[in-house]
Amino acid sequence: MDIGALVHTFFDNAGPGGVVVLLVIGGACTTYYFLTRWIVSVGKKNEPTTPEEQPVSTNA
Amino acid sequence: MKMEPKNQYTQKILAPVRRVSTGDYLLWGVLLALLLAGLGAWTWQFIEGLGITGMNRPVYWGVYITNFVFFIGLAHSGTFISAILRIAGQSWRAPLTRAAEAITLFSLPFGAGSIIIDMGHPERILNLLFYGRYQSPIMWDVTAVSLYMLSSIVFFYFSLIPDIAMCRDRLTNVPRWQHRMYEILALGWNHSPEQYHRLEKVLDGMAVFMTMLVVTVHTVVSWLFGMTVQPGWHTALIGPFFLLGAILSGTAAVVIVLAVLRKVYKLEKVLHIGLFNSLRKLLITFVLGWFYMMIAEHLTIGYSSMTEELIVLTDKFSGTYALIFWGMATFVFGIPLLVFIFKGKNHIGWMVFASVLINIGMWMERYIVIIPTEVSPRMLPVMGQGSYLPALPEILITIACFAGLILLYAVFTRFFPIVPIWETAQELPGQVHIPETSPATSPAASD
Repeated sequence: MDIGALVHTFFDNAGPGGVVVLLVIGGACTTYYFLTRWIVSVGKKNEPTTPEEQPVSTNA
Repeated sequence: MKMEPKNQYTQKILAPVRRVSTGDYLLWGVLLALLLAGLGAWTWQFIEGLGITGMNRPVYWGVYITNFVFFIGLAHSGTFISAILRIAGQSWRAPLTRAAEAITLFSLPFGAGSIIIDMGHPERILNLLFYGRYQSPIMWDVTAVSLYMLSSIVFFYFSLIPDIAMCRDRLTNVPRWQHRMYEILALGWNHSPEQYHRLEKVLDGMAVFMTMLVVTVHTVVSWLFGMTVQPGWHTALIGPFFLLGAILSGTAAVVIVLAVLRKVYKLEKVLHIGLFNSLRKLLITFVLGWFYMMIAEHLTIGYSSMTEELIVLTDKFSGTYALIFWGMATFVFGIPLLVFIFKGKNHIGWMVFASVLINIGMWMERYIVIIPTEVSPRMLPVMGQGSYLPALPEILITIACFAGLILLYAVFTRFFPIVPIWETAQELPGQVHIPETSPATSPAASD
């Protein structure tokens, strides 16, 4: 397999550039989505379940 | 007992979020009018074509590209203050992180937008996706800037979540839609110690990634110029030169914004003088660094005495663009350095004065990098000598970009706390966290 030819084809052809952009942005979106879920998910497990356990609103 | 970060300044920080004043509506109205004027000019340009601008053959890039480089540079403020100083463990930065990140967030759309405006027809951006060749630096730019914009939004939002949750819990007198917005954006945040632990972990990791991005983005922006074999551009120094200029203008923008916020929202105790003294030291370093790069760049180019390079260099030093060039050097280096050293310490007014000059100068610098080369390009006898003056649509659109940035910023500060409450808290749920944010404890204050 001619790696050089493959690299040349990648850089020198219309089309792959757009795919790279979409892959990078798509990958980042997916990563950030799961990161967000991971951060907030732990709080949801600990959320109070009964009205008595609800925090008191401190209306400032 | 309700878990929440304990911050003695919570009420003060939340005060601007409680109500929108008539003055705000007035300011927003004026800025919106300017923005609409720019939108009108863009529509005019869309209908008539780029021929109505000052751009012509061989001057294909004008103030739109100047704005692109300037706004992307301005956007580096947030990443520098938040990410780089976070990695360096500089805890004094905590009160000003959000104000700096907001500059990033709101200037990036105008930076990226300037490229689309420069295309004449915005739908041409799709050509990059469908027919883009990765050998073109424009594709590198699209990749880097898009990723930077997305990551900046996420980085900003992550650090905002706990404070949105505080708005949700505390601001019950706000309009219903506003409260609903806080509920949605807070993502059910309940201030549990584990949530804070995970958030800190993610922000630390992202800070490293953002630092890499910030270097990549402005280097790639500079390569738009550097990769073309044009006089004044084709130099390896252009990447670090652009990057340093970007961080300088971004940090100066933070000083301006902090001073305005401090005055308008009466946040003198939170945004204390020590922060300005710390920024002053950084700015002195950056101004000197920028001056070093300036000499290195021009000496390297000038020493070669290549005909094409000398035409552009002479144009800058003593020709058509001499006034802008020396004005830029005075605004970015001469006056600010003197002000920072002799007047800036403990004087916010002087700091703001110098920072405004730096930003005007940096815009001029972007202009002076682009236009003289475009006017006298390589193969001058073939390409022909050009000339350029921005036309009315370009001026209106430029004003609109600045108005839009200020408008977004002003609106944001009325709906979200502009100083991070949890990051400046004396104690977080489940842990004791004492940031050095008060003048008494900050090393900055002992400047």
